[in-house]
Amino acid sequence: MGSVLSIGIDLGTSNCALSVSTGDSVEMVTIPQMTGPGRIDEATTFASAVYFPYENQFRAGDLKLPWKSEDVSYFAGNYAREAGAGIPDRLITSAKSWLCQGAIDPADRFLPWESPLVSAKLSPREVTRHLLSHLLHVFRYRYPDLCENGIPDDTQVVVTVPASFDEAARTVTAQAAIDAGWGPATILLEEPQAAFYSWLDRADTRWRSMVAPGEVVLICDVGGGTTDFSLIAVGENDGNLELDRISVGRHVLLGGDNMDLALAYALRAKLESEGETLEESQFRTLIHTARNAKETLFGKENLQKLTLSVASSGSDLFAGTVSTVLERDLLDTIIGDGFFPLTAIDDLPAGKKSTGLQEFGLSYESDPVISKHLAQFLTSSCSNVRSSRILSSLVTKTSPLRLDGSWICPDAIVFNGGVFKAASLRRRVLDLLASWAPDHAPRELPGADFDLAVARGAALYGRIKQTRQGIRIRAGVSRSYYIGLEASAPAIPGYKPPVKALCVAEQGMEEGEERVLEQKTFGLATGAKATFRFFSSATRAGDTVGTIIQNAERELEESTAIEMHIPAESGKEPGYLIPVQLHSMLTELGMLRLWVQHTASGKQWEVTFNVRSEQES
Amino acid sequence: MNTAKKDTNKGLVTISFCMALPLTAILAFLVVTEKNCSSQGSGLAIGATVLAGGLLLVLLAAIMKKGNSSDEPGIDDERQQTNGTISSQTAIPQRSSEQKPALMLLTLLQEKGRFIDFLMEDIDQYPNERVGAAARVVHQGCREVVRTVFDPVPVSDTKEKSAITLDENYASEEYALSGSVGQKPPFSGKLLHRGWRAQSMKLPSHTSESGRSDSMVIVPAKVEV
Repeated sequence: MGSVLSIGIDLGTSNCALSVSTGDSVEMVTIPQMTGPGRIDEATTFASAVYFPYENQFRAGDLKLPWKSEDVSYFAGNYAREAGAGIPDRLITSAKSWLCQGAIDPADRFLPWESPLVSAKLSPREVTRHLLSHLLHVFRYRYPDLCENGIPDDTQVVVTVPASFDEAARTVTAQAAIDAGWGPATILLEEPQAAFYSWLDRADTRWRSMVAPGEVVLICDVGGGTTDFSLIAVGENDGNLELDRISVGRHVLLGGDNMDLALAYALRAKLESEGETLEESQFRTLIHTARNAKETLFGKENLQKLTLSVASSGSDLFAGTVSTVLERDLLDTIIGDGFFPLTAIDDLPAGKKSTGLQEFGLSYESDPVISKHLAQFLTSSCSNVRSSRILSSLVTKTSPLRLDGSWICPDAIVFNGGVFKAASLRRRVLDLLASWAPDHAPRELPGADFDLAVARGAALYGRIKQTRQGIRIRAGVSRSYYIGLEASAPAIPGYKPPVKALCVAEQGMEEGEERVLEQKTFGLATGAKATFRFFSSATRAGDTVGTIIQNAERELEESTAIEMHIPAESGKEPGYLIPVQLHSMLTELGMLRLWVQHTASGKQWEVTFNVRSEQES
Repeated sequence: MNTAKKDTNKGLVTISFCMALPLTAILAFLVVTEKNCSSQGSGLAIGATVLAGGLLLVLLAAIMKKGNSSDEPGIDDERQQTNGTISSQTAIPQRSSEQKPALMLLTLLQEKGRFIDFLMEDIDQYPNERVGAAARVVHQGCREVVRTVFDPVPVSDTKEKSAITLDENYASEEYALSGSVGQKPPFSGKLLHRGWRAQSMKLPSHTSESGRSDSMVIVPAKVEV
């Protein structure tokens, strides 16, 4: 067997990380990046932020990366986040979350969001490509021997995405990786799955005794900017354990950054009640101080309080520094009770996800209570699993009553994300689940690597895929997909008929599986584009291709529209109608492929998401 | 300020020896804080932080000395031979590339830990409470810098104030002896201070030789627009 090279990329909402596996081990790749004007340093993580300098901010040579001979006009990484902290109009953050905002075209150049200052803006897709491009340069720079002629052809590159990403967002991410130069064989892996692969690797052979067939494992991943849940069922076939990802959550824009901000607001209120006033720039320092204080108090459980200081804005450090005490009670109130309270299982997040744009452009969660989002996930997972006979049988082998309630109760939890370095928050989540199911309290699966598991797991998965050695989680398509059909009801003034939808791709379809929508033949005019509304659902595992949904807008989530296009044929008039059928398949690379096919001739035309192709500047 | 360059260096080197003990104090302060997290440690903390200047001067002196000897060999000697004395005009700082890290270190300590602000303010007019509040800022930020760049660990694992014996193979740069010291090891005595050793030297690198290399700015003035 030749040498195996697998590269894992954790493309986080707040931070990226890079890992490589060249043999049995996986190591993190430290990332050279700007840390100041004309300054290059390495760090394990790379902030997913892009900063646009103003004219003359930097001198020639200040913005030069080790692999570039010229200064760059904008830059990403930890210094970008720092430089832009006081200049929000010049800073892009959380670009990744724009990839799954249904109504927004990820190829539109509108970032930094609502900034009047930056003339040449970037699209979410360009930002993603820029981050991935930096990481590619890093890899080639750090491993010159491996990359004499670029990344070797047989390298397995794995980029992680939120489990909640729909196919449109996944396609844009994969395309950005290819545009960045990572190669056409780049594959995607859901972040919670990556965390689980890392846990499997760290548990080594012991994992088989840590979970039992019939059990359900919750992966609870709270990152800096997003919260992501998945359920994995443990099965058995001929004495071998099997793993199936049976449910994914929706995109929850809520994470550790929100907690730091909440704590900083509480500390500001406390300082003000003590007679101090904080300037705006001091508040930014306070957020940083609050994060450090939170980590210290969570890390040292015997400490009851922590004195903290926030430096003056000016150089008058002795006169201008303000100081206060963070009591453990306040920390527990703000973080524990604020984000992880012991709510009831039927207490779901307030308000539905708004599709309108809110203050910061992204549809941030209006309800910060992660307990409620978890309750919602376990409730919708239950209806998802119950709707499918195959999934139902997976989870009821040892617990026949598991689907009798309104929610699905896991047996064990793998925690992930920096937030869960705090043992007390892990205990809180376990307590929460125990309060929902006193007779079935889940246990924590120990051995998590909270910060780096996703990057590590990505490289591990790449290695497993290459060598075909090691257990793989059977995942398949994470959601079912539907094409919207205009209802053929007569027009009635004032009455908008519901949009019907037809299932065109099933949740759980595995690599290489193909489906045909036989119920409907589309007559497509050559030389013209036909656009269809497109919907998805993560909670309807039982639907098969051809299932009709009577009211798509109520039952499903709307995704980016799809386009069918048959080019005009030479010698034939444009507008010539061709009867085609819609086919779907999960490719080797784990992407959903849709195409239309002329039944008689077998000729195929790709169906694409309605995302404009990127105009190279 | 008419000091000749060579004299400055001599002065700094002298200071660096005087500051050998304070250097260890600042390291103790920055690295071992678990004991000092409540208020009873504030006196020690303040004292140690004020001595942080020692760390800086030692490093500056070491770096400048190195820069001078390797980069501009004999320039000062030559000047002294031809001119006898050096006028103030020739004392314009001529920084070699080896000296840049000294400024870089200062930049890091100021950016992260407000180090220059701390040293340059008049400490005499403030009570310990104000100085202590500021010390936390300096401690948190400068410790992060020192840990990242130097990753210091104790030289000796022996508990302080307990007995220690240095055999004939001991590394002389790792132990400084006092008291009734004989001619040859082994030496037996009591460990007064466990010492510090840097495990790394990881200053960020500069991207260009031109650019800012002539700049003496440690951190820029900040303006809110």
